[in-house]
Amino acid sequence: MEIKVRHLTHIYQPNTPFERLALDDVDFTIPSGAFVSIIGHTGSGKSTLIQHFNGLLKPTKGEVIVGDITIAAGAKNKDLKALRQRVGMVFQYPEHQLFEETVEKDICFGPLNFGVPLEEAKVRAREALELVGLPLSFLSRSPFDLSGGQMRRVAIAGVLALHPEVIILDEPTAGLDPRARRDILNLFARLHREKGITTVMVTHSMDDAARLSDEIIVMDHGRMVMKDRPEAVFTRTDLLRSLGLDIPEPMRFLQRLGARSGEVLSEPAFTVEQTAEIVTRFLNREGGPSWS
Amino acid sequence: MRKEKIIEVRGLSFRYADDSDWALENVNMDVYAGEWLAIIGHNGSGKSTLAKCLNGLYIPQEGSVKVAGRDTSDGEALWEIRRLVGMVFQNPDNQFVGTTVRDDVAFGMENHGIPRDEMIVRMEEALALVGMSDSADREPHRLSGGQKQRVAIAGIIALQPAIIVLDEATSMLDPKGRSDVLAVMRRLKQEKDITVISITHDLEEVAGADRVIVMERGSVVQAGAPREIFKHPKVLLDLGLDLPFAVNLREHLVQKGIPLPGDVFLQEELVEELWKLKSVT
Repeated sequence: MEIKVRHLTHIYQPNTPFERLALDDVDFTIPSGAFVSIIGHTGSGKSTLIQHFNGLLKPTKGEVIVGDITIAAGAKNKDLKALRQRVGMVFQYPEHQLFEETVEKDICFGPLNFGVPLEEAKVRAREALELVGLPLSFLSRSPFDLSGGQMRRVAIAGVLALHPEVIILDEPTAGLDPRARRDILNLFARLHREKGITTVMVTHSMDDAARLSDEIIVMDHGRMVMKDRPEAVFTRTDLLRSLGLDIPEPMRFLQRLGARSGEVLSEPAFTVEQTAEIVTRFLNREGGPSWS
Repeated sequence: MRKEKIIEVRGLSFRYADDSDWALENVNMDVYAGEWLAIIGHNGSGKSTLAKCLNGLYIPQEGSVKVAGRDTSDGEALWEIRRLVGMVFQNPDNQFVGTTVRDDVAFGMENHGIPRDEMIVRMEEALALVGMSDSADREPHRLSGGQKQRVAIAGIIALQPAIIVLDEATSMLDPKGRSDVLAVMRRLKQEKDITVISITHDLEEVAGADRVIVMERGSVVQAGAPREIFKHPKVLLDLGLDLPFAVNLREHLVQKGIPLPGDVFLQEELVEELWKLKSVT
């Protein structure tokens, strides 16, 4: 499902001493089925931006169009419920919102709220639990007896059970350990690939953004400063650093190696495997001995 | 020469309820004054529980925790222990009390009876250190996750504790925010000889620590300098932990037949080793 953002401006607490311009004339389109990451310095407007995608915040000016639903400044929005059903939002630390006695009840809560019959909701709960890689035996357990990573997966299952066409992720791996982080990212990469879900991820990890995204949106002080493929975004090292961001770690390493050797090693590299390839080629270039 | 022990943990066991499993089991460890100690382990391995035992938020059922010689099980000593040990948690939402950033940073100092003039100086210094001077009049609950973390850190810095425990305190920060906060901590460590205990998943930070403790199932399974810990990547991978980029790349390159020393773990070292290989004619 396509997301169009048109001249979106958002001002928090207007006409008070706390008034603050959080988004300033932001304009872009996310094509249906894309995986887009949003990066930006703390307070650059990333979270404010995505909260418009399911109508949690309303534009002060401009509009947001998700599929055929338009949320415009100053207009009455009758379609919020339909919007929220289509756009699943996974907040930061979503496990803080678990509240039911059992995992099954918690996952069913959303679908039931949107009028899905109980039996159907239970079927969806099973499917969702399998999607997030937890055994069905968890259905009858209390969510509060689970580990942090498991709780987060249950919370995500609750969003998936709505059968959203768009998934919005606000730092989905914050606070998880490396293994749980990998599991969660693989999950969303798979959902995107297999189900064609349009995915928007806010992240502080340049490495995750580089590896997973079709496109990256770079925010600064409430404005969009770049929207491009990762290979293009991460060649702008100086600009990114001036915004408090950086290039992915493999590229930082190659830059260091390049600086030491006087060669420019600035080609995009987002994984350790790619880096190893580039380093091997670097070693094999004329002048040095040859390693396979 | 080893520095003096500022925290001594002996035979520490802790569980949340009488009928639950031990969250910590027979933990023995020391923290030396002025060191940067990283604690790693996957979630549920007991890291955060251990941190909360270090300032007496949790009192062990067995064994003891002594901070600067004071036992956390001694109710009389707790106030002093908490003055010595400042904690910054992962999710600062639960710690905010003030209506503005300024009030919030002041709160801890008021509790510790710091004179007003001194308070103002320390507050400005602390907010400047974390880059939040411009936000002194904003409401904490309206800040972003990363900004909240900075304010929480400022509140602790202002108290000038001898030991700062960071419980995944930089996990919500963007790359620059994270390196800024870590730089502040390093400076405090250097200039004021503060001891830093950091529970973290950030491997680059771990690589820069003086010592590392690896936890698994409530026990300390490895302790040593980063160079020693990262010599055995398989042990860490088996525990579900990540490797610093340089170690990961080293392993990949060694597999390709490139001869590299097995203890390289810093990026600059790996760059030097590769440059040496390249320069050999």
